[in-house]
Formats: sequence, C-alpha cells, structure tokens
Amino acid sequence: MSINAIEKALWQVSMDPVQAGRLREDPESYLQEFRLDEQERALMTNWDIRAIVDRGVHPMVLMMAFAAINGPDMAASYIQKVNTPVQVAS
Amino acid sequence: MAEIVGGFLMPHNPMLTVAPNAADPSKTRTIFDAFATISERVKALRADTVIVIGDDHYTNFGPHCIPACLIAIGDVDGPVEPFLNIERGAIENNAALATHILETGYEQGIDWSFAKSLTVDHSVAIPYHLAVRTVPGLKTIPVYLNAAVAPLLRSRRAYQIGESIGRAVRSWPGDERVVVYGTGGISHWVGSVGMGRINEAFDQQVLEMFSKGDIEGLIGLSDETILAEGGDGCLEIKNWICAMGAFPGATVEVMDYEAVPEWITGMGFAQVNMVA
Repeated sequence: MSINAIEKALWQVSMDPVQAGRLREDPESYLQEFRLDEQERALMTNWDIRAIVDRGVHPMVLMMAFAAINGPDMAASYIQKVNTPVQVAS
Repeated sequence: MAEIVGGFLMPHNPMLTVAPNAADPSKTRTIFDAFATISERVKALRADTVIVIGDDHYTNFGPHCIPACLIAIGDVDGPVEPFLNIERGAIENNAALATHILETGYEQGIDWSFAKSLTVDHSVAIPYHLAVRTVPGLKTIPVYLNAAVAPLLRSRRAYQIGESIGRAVRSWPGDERVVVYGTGGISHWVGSVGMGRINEAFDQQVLEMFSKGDIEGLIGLSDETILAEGGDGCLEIKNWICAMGAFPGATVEVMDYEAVPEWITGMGFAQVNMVA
C-alpha cells in the first residue's frame, strides 16, 4: 500500500479546488500522477473509505479530501462509510 | 518584565461554526457561554497577548513537511478552511514576543519550526473567533504541535515546550500581559473508525487529572491509550499539556463539560489556577 502516495494525492485534493475538480471529473488522469497500483487507484476512485483507512491512510486527510469532492454536507455519508466494516468475500 | 496572567483550556471544534444550531440548545448555550466567560475573564485580566496552542489537522502541513512544533513569528491570517463560515481575515500577531519565544527555545533545546506567514486552521481560528476577537486589542501568537500525524510529538516534549514558552515570556523585557490557551480535545474520532463516538468517562478522567495538576499522570497516558479511549482527536490533550507547562505546579478549575453527539465531541473548558 503506497500510503505516502495516497496521502499526497488526497492532501492536494483537500487543499486545492483545481485538483479536487480533476479528481472528481477524471480520476484516472489525476491518479496516474501518483505511485499507486491498480487496486489502490480503484479504492480511491470508488471512495472505499473503510478499506482505505484499514490500510493505514491518515483519516483526517481522507475525510478532508472526501469533503472537497462531495461538499461540506458529506459528514453523515462519511461517518456511515468509515464505520461500516469491509465485507470479506467468502 | 512581561507576565503570564492567565491560562485556559478549551475545545476548537469546527462544528461550532459549521453547524452552530445542530446540537441540543441547552448544551449549545453552555458551550458558547463558556467562550464568552473566558473572553470576559481575559478582559478582566487586562491581557494584551494570547498564545494559542493548537495542532494542524493534516491541512496546512502535508506529507511534504510535518513540523513537530511551530510558532508563527510574522504575518497571520485565517482560517484556511473555507467551510468554517468565518471570513478569512488578518489576525494581529505579537511578532516581537513570538520571536523571543523562538530564540529562547533555540537557547534551551527547543528546535522550533517557524512560519513567517501563516494562514491558521480551525485549531487557532475557532478559539480566535470565540475568545480572542471578542477581547479588543488582544494579539495572537499561534503555536502548532504535531498531535495529529504519527510519529507524534511526545507528550513530555509538549510539556517542555510549554515550560520554555513560560520562561521566554517571563524573561521578555516588554510589559505584556499574556494568557495561554490550550485547545482541542477531549474525546472525538476525526475521520477515523469510531467517528461519532464520545467517551464521557474518559473525558472526566482527563479533566480530573488536569484539575489535580497531575501532569505526570497525563504524560504517562500512552498515545495508544488515548487513541483507544478518546480517539485520534483526543491526542489534542498534548496541546493542553503544553499549555500547563507555562504554569509549573498549577492545577485547573473545570468550568464546563458537555458531550455533544451532534458535534461528535466531548467538549471541556477549564481555567488554570494561578500559582502565587
């Protein structure tokens, strides 16, 4: 898991509306600038919040980036996502 | 010589301005009244400078650079977050005293990072909005500790930084009357698994330790214990511990406490009992 690269990608989004717009509109293009593997890119594209947190990504920067993408009224949705354990395929 | 005339511990919860009407009205009144009471007490103390100890939330400081402790010695404005419903504006610093705190730290083994131009996040902006701006003429020296991004500043070091701040102020030849705010906490989970939980019992334990001046006990709380019992946001008691360093041997008087689920935080207020 490229935690540092993911946190960098998220931090830029959280601080820069232009980067947030890029991730919102064309995640593939934005994420290819970072050293991420295919699975990591998928997690971020799908905003698999709990799976990302479980892998050790800092939750504050994740939440701030999620808010930058989804708007300030995202709190309930974020809380639900982060508190829902990832389903393990049987 | 400059004097430290008072100290306060308080939350810096962004929900106070993001969603001021979301919580139980009685609790809301208690909390906003507590900020008003602090403002009145700081006026009565005739303070002219406040040192606000907060922590960045992986906002100003990104993966490229995480300072363990930072002081703003130049221009200050804020807040950096557009969603706080607070218009960004200039915040008057006491640059001369801030620089003296930095220089004193350098002499005493505190390797401060510093900002010549800082746009503060909510950890300074909320206390500023509710308990600094409300006191005409009060200048703000922002201090940032790393209580958020591991590897974290050690709590003992936070206390030592506070001690150095205290010595610096008391050795400053100006005639400033200084108050110190430790901000943040108590239990809350910020973006992490458990977000929404509040641990009132742990909050009361923490407040009890501060009220007894049990600094060794507080420093002895491991980061793992704090994370488990109070969440990642509770690590901000390092800011409170730092503030207490400016008041060696002091206890505190708890002013108020409310657990506010809508604001996802256990919120405590205390005033430092000044040691004669």
